[in-house]
Amino acid sequence: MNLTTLLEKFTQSKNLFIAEHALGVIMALLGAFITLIFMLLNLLVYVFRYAAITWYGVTNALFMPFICGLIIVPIVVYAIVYIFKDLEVDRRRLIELQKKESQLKNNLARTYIDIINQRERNSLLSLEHEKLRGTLDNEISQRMETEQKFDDQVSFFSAIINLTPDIIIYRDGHGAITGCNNNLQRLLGVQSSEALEQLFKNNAELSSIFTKYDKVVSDTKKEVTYEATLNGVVFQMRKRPALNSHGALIGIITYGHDITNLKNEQDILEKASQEKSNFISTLSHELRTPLNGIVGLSDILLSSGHFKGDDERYLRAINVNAVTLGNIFNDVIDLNKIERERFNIVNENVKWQDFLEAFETLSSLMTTQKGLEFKYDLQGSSPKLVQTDPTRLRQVLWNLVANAVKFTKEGSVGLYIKQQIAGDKLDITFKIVDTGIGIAKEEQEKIFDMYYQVAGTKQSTGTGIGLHVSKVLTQELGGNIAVESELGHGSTFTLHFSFSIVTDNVELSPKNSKIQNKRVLLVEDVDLNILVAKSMLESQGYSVVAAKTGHDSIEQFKRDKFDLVLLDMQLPDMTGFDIADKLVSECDCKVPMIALTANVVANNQVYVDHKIIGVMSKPLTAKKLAETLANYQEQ
Amino acid sequence: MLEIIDKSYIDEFVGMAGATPFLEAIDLFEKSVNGYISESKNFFAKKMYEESAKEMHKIKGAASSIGLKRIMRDAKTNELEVLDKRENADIDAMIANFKSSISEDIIVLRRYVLTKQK
Repeated sequence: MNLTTLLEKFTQSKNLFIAEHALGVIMALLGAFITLIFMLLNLLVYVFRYAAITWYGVTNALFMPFICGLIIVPIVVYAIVYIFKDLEVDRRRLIELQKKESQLKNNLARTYIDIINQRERNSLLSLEHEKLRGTLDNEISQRMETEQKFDDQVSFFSAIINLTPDIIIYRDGHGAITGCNNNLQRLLGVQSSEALEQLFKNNAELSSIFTKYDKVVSDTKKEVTYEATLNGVVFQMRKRPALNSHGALIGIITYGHDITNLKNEQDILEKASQEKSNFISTLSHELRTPLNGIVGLSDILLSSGHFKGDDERYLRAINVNAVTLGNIFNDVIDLNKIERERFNIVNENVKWQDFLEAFETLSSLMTTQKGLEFKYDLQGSSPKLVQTDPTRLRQVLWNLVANAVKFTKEGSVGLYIKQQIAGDKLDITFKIVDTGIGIAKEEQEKIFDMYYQVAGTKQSTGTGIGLHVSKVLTQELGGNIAVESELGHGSTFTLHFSFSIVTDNVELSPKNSKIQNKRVLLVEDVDLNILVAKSMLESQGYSVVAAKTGHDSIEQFKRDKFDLVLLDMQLPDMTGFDIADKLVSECDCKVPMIALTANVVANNQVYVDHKIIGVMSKPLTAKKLAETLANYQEQ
Repeated sequence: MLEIIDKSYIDEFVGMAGATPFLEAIDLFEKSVNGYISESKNFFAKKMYEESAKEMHKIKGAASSIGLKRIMRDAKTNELEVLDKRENADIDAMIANFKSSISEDIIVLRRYVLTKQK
């Protein structure tokens, strides 16, 4: 390492003191070295100049530079160190300052960067701000536009509401009027909703037209329709709940449509329809009379047996068709009755147990005949007599059972009766259950409607009035009818009635008291005919003795006293004429003899010849007997 | 207007004497009618046509007693057929038809009487 670098090293030392002293030492050494060199040089010079060398001379030659060196070197060293020290201090200060400056510069640069960043950020923010401002402005303008549109809509709507010839009123959830249309104001002669409110306060009747069914509407939240008349105008009122988006009731809108003209037309139509159906009914009545003639006469012709083969077939066709036509006329007349709701319910005292038994037997017959199983259950005891219209009740029950059988292909038809005596009333429920095709839910409401028929079934061959009639009759009988069913899983028809129980012992069929203890000799060989005639005659108060042969009859007549003889014309051993002759000749018979025949009576004279007072075609009836006897007594 | 049964007669009878004797009469008819039919057939086979017709006549009377109007008419037709055609009458077909009518009509009759019962 050379001196300068060493110097540099020292001078650059951080410790100024060391650097200072190191420099001083170096400089002193350098001064000493230079002094030494000068001393040597002086010696050389002395040697060469002066041939004689003396100690004095040598010492003098050395001494002189040495002294000079000794004086100059410390001064120079001091001066250099002093200067160095100043310089070094300045230098170091300068370095320090430079350092500070660069630091400051750095700081400044950083601040600048910060400022720039901040500026950038600011500009972004302001951009955003601008944007927001734009959106806000947009929104405001849109809102204004919407408001304008809304105002326009409101104007349109109120124009529409005011244009309509109908009346509209809307009220809030508490019933206060929120508005109404001009037409209603005009109709009621008020100028504003407030005046209307006032009018309603003063006129409860008027108010009630609009507040009617409010509770129903607010409770059910469903529309209600009713009719009302306001100042002579008939309105069909529709009341509808106003609901908010959460489904809560915020008010009620009442809308009235002017149906005055419609009503008038409807009245005219109803009247016309009534007249038409009266006309048809009358016509049917009128047509039925000659038709009865056709049926009756064709019956007679058929029974006469004069027509054979094709002729008979044609005659039978005439008869059957005439009967069918007659049934159609009957239906038409019934229909008219239904339309005019004219059902004559005639209550009678009905032997209840017999009624139920007969119904059971009948239902069982109808069911088993089709190969279906019949189920029956009766709960509760039957009172003796019940007051109802047996014909109508039977009609309803029969119709339901017939329907059950008709619509059930396989399975069973069940009849379940539950009855309970409560005081003087009999509460009774009939359930007619089948396993048939059933009725869809949506159809169930309609089945009791007039002319309703199950769509698409082969079974529906009726007129579609059966169930309607059943319902009407059930209501007329004071009962109700309901259906439960599921498509394909059968149906259950439930009837409920409450009948009065008859407690006093009322005579059901008063017997003819005029004929008492009259004895009849009945000459007849067929057991059945004896049974029937006997039952009939005994019910009329006669006592009957039967004889099966002519011989037997004469014997009987001889033994007993009789008031009347009824003679069959064809006995095993003789004819009716033979018997009559014998009774007159052998027994001196004075009592009236009446012939019974299954043939058509053509000539009365032949009977008269045999002292037979009259002839009756079979079957024997009380009416025929009475007529024959009356004719006899007149003669 | 009634074809199969004589409703007015039945109504009158049941109204006066009640349904029970009438139902008994129907039972009796059902029991005895086959006897009359087979008698008629036997007589016919023996060529005793008058006797055969008489059996039909009995059925006619019995049917009338219980209001079986169609059976009454058919019995009458059969009676006349036997008397008119004698051996030419097709008694087998006639009786087969007759029997089926009888069973059908008895059902109708019973049903009707039961509805009248009260």
